[in-house]
Amino acid sequence: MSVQRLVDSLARDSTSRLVAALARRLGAGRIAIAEDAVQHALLQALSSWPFKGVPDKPAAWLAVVARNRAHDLLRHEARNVVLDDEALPVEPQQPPSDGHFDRELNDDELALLFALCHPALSPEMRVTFALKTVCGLTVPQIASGLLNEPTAIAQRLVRARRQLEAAGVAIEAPPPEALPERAESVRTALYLMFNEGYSASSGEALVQPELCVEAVRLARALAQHPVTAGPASDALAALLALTAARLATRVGPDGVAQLLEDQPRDRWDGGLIALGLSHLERSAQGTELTVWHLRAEIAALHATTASAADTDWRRIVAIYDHLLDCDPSPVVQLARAIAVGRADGPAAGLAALPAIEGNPYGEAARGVFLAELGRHDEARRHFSAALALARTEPERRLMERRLGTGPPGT
Amino acid sequence: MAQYMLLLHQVPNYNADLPREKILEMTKRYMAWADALRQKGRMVGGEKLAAGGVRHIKVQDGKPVASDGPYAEAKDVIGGYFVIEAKDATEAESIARDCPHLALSSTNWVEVRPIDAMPAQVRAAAG
Repeated sequence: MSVQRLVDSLARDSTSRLVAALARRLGAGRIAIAEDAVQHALLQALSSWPFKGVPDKPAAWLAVVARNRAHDLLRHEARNVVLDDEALPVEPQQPPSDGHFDRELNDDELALLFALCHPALSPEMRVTFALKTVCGLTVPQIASGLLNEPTAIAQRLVRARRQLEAAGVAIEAPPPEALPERAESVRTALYLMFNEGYSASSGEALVQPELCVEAVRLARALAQHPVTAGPASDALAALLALTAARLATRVGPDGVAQLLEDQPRDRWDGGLIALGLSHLERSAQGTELTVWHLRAEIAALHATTASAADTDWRRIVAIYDHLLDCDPSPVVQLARAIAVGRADGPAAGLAALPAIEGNPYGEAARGVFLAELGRHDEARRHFSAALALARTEPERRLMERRLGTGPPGT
Repeated sequence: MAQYMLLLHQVPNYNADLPREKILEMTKRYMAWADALRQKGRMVGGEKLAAGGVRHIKVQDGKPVASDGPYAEAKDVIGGYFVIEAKDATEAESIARDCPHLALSSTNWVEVRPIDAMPAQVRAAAG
């Protein structure tokens, strides 16, 4: 593994797991200490690895250094917490793959997600806090996922922490009876975590598969846990698995982002599709119909349609209509407009487009509809705007291709 | 090929408040820099120096006397060193210019010191 990839994967996987494991161990309100300790371990890595190379087990190295630091910090603050060495895993723990938990949450990250989604916080705060602490997303990534300004997100995190401290609220794994009321915030956090992995908000790579895989894993654990299982959790697991099946084809071999209709469907992951469909089937038990059901149904329609040309766009528009009733956000309006354009032609699609300022996908969709109507000059203006707004390199290349300034292709 | 020592100068605790993203970014760059030198056989070795436990041994009235040294008040300390191989002073300097130690903080700096090589005939005479 290249050094770059190694450090990236450590940053995403190990450090968030380390914080989660430490925070859970330290208990009530000590997330700050867990974060400080992990921060310290990262600094140590920065100042010693260049001299001697990366240790054989970098994650274990970080875990030991972080744990020792946590010991020191606790001793320093004279807190009465005893951390014995066996209490903390040296290796990042692999969660049970079958997801057969007892009624308690024994998955560190899932437990911490629930702990953070505390009723004392507003739903928005819960999700922000969870994304930062458990999912390991950065402030700009969270801001992008929640369509907000990074400064606002940073302030929200500070407020959330203060609010919990002021209320003397213990951040600890909640008892089983407290899980259901927090579950919707946890589902939202997992959905946003998945989105960041599926459509990165910045950088070289469009996708970060590790983040998606982790979100799918946690969503499945949620759907299989006796207390949090249910139609909504199954629907979310279905949505994430069915969407993750398309990960490998999101970017073409030439490094250009590929639209759904251009993706080679034989390269979609059959195992994940089967998994998603089985969760979808289970989600249909009962009478509950959630936004997760609607989104999962759209993903299932794409996953089970042999070719892009066979897509039942009218049905997809109908599902989006329903989704808009539950979630009237510009993002849903944009997705619906694209479906309308495919079902009823570019003029209808254009008319359905919402006005989203500064959104690369909105500009690109407008460009596509205008180009299909033969209004090429106007289309170019919107492709140029989309290029300027594009967040990742593969998306920039796609817009360059549309503008005819990039590598040749479609 | 000649050997050079790169002494990494810094203000004590300059890195205490770096954000996590910056640490990871810098770790990547630092590792990439050191790995590239290692792969080209140009990295002879290096050590990070501990921040504490500094002792100064000086001769006073003909006797060696140890003291803590003025480390705590120091504005400039050596955080570590690398020994590298380079064709000449110009190449050594260009390796030092790329050292991410410089990018970590504007107060960091790198001192390049040629290692005094024993001339070949002296080595031969010494057997």
